[in-house]
Amino acid sequence: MNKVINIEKAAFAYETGKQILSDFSLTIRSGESVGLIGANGTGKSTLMKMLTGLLSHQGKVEVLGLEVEKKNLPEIRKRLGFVFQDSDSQLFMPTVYDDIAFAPRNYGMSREEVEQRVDEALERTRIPHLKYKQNYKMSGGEKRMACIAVVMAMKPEIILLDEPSITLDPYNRRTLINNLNEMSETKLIASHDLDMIYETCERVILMDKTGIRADGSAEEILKDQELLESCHLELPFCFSTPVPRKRK
Amino acid sequence: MKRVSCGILFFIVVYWYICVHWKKEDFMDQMTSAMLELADMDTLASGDSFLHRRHPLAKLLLTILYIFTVVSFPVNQLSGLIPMVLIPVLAYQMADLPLRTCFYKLRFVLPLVCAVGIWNPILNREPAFSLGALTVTVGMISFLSLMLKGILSLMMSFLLIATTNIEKICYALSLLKVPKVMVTQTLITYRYISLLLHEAGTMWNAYKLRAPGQKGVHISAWGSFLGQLLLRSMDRASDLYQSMEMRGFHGSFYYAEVQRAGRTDWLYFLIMAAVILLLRLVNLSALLGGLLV
Repeated sequence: MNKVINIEKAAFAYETGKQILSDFSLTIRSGESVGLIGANGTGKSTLMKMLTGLLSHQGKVEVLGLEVEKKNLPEIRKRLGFVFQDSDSQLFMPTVYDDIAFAPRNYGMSREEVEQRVDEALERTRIPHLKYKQNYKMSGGEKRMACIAVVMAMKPEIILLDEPSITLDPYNRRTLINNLNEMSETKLIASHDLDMIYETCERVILMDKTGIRADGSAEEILKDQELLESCHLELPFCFSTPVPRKRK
Repeated sequence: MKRVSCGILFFIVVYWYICVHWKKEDFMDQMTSAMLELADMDTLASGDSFLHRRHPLAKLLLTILYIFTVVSFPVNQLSGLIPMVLIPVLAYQMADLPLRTCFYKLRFVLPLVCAVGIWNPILNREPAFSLGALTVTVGMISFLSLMLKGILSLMMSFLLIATTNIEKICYALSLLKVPKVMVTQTLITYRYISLLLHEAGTMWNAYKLRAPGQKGVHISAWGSFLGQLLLRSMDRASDLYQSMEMRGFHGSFYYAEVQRAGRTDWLYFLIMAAVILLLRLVNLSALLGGLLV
């Protein structure tokens, strides 16, 4: 399989000097579904923003064979979709339709093609009923699915999802998991929802303050209680034994 | 730089809103209703009437022409101004919009417009004519004239935004070669306002829960409250800008719905423009009065 993401000795530090990633290397192949887990502040979101060129970096970062640098950004962003952690940061047009059509319009597609892309994205995310709904009037779950539809409209080869299940109720979370499992694109999912990661990813990368702590199959990493706890995480519910409820 | 300027601009808008309203107990309710009203405008603009379907440039040009024409009437020529009411009344019919919607939405602005010439009847008491025992002064006429000008201008402006969404208005502005930076700022500001009102509302709620019994934000917290709001505004602006960049935005909006102005659009423009200019050049009230007397 082709390498679609290739990072070699990359580093990122904020202007204040705070180092988030250093000497970071990672390879993701086409069609893989990779979970990115780790405690808060280990650089999961930073890594995603680095891949999209939203944050500048040092070292080599390649996406779909293109170096992440200014001249390649339009092409990279056309082929890579990023679902933000906060849906309100992603949706800014009056209706779902306008938001989904935003990218196809920016890439100069014809009216008919825009219409087709919007309908396809809505179908894939199972929200055709929300087509003309105003963003302001949508629930958290609806907004999340609309964000994914927004990204799907460009038919990306890679999808980055930053905390996709956050704020979702169990029903919407299940819908999201089903949708993710139906997507054949390469996926990189950053989340603290380890059960969702287990259900949607075959490979897991565990990050800590020093970089990649472990990289392996979801089964192998998510069952390792000692490893997870050393990184401020816990076993997913599906592997943990029920804890008796403490009562007075 | 763009993100910083966006952030500052939105901060100013929200700051102004808070300065006006934050002493009120029901500030949050007002903010929510303000957000809903913004959303309502989008709903109105997504209608499908004859006027909604017209090219945005034709509507924008007509609105500008109408406002300039109305403003160009001398303040003492009230009789010439009155027939200009026909244009918005007709246009509201074509847009399937009830006039009361306009007056309801503009309920806070209309009193200000009406108050523009409020001192004229007192300052200028020169008699113009008598109606029985009542002497109508030049000041009264100019007051009514200024009031009518303001109301008519607002009615036509409202009609434009109620039948044309902000993207289309900005598209029309770009066709008129208005600088790109101004068009983009207008568009983004409009889109961000509701998010920032929401941000300010969240902060207000957090403050209120920890400051029971206080009316508004205490003066000692003004600095930190507004400082935080500025930082949040800039963060929000930055996030949204990143989201736009990720979807191919590079300072210009592209419109798949770019529609060429058709024959009906130009015909509509020409007929309405002709009527406006005719009403400006011919005093219809005086003409009809002359026929009757």
